[in-house]
Amino acid sequence: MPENILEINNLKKYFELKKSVFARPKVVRAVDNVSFKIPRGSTFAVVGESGSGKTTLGRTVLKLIEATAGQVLMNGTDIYSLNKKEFMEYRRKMQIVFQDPYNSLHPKKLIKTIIGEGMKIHFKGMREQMIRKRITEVLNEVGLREEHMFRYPHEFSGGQRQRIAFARAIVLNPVFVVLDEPTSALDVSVQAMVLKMLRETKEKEGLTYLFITHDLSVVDYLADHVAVLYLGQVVEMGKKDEVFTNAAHPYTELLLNSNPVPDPFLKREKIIVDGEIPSPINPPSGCRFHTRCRYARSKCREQEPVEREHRAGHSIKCHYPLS
Amino acid sequence: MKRRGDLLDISALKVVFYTYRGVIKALNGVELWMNRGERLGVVGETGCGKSVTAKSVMRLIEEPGKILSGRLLFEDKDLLQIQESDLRQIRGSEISMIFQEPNSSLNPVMSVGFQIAEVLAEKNKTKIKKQYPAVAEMLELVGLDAERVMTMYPHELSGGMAQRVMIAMGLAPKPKLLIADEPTSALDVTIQAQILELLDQLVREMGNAVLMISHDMGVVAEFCDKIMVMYAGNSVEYATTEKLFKNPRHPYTKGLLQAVPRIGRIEELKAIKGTVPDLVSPPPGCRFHKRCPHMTAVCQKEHPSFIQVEDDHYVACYLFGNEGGGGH
Repeated sequence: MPENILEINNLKKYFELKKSVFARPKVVRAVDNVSFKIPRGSTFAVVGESGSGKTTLGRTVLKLIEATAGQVLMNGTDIYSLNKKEFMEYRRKMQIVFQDPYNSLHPKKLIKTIIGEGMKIHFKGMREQMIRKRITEVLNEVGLREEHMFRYPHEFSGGQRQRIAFARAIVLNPVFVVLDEPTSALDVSVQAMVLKMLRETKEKEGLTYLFITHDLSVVDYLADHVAVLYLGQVVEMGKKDEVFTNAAHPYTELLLNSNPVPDPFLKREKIIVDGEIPSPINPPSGCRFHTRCRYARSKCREQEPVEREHRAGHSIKCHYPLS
Repeated sequence: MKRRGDLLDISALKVVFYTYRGVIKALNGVELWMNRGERLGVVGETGCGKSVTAKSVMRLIEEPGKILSGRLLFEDKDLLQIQESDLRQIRGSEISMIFQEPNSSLNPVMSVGFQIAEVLAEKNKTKIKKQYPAVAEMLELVGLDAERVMTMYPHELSGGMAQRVMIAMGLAPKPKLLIADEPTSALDVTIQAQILELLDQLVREMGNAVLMISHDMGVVAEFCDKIMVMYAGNSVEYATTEKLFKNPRHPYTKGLLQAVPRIGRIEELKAIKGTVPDLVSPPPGCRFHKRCPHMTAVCQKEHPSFIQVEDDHYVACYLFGNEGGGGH
């Protein structure tokens, strides 16, 4: 088996906005030429603000929405080249947990049905007893109990619901799970529990995570690798420790600096950048970040930087890296 | 009773909500005080009553909620005792509020300029039209292009711009107290940094006191002088920001700080076991006792009162020589 469980090459997802019948349709380049590799057994974080395309990226990787162009190699096989039947097996291996546990669980179905539904599809003919046994197993794994199977989603708190959503994702023995902001809707004390659970289960089940988030402090806790996304493009990518200590892209620097630190004794200079995040419909020319970059020079406005290796295993898309 | 803060002093505030499930005891004797020009952060998790406390200050609790009892001194007036008409003089001009979702608190069919002018006209008892120059000035102050934004409608604003408009509206009447309820929670981090910087600069110049409600320990650590920690409808700890982070006393505060992830944190995250109690039938005694690692028999009987343990540091916990008798 290849060393990288997932490899994404030049992935693109464009959405057409239909404004008028006559005007040329506007195109949102939500994911614009993204490539990365996720080593087996690691957690790969994708961070970005709203409009960066991180959620679209997660869904395109799973083929929940069709990519416009590019490759998604799962264990070396391009999932976009498979027919429906061949793809079924990959559908099972790749799962997702959504951000909002209040909307991602069917309110009228029992937890047993919610978790077991996938098993009925992927393991046709499996005996009810076996299904129950497996559901109990995953419920225990995420820190819930067997009797919770016979309850409805509204009987659970946010943290518990997120555990259920995660149980549903791992019940089919996947190898790869996309976590789309799994803790953003949770309070900190609950978030801590869910994060720990995610980390422990990953070890136990031998999973690989694609972890999508806007919260850098959570990335620091969970991830091994990180890719920073800005307006659909990866601007910096590498090992988490390397990127966090030697951020080379001005945007990464800004993100790290903007993150409020729960420590009143730490006095640091805040970087404040004027202006808003530009719209992905009309991304700025040249380097897309130049409108908010405090180091921008004329070249940045005119010429788009190419993604290149900055240090070993640390790539960057910037004309004038910081370190 | 001794006065604790010269701007605002809330004591034994109780608020309930009547629902079909029963009576939600949302605030169970909240204690909170502020001095002029001070910045107090109120932190706590969902359902701890931080927003209800903020709304109570303006007496904005609506049906099915009700302020049962307590004392709410703003300067020398008890806001719970005065007439609604007198309260209107204070609301919006001496105390103003900004919310988490600026777009749901702005009127969608009125231009931005008109809405801010209205607030000023109410305070200064003039015609709305007369206030436009002051509105323009205020919009410039929050970093917006006044000429353009004045005539815009809320739906034309981005999240960051809308929050700037809210800040302009909140600060335009030069209130003594600005209540900010999660003002940056809906914004991206880089925009959040802009807005906090702006707010910091403006209130420093204008000298307003700020009561900031937040769930983010990072935001209050950076913005506030003092912090009040709330849990399940009670004030559990109050201290200067430095003291609270350096020497947290209440087991809940300690737990909360150990659960917060931060960049470069080496120690393992520790979650607080258990879940927040249902406030329809909260546990007797200290509402935290079921989750507390230091629970003793007395914790289950009576709620501890909010006592001073050192200068500018108060705790509601039996670990600190408490006689009990708070709340209830």
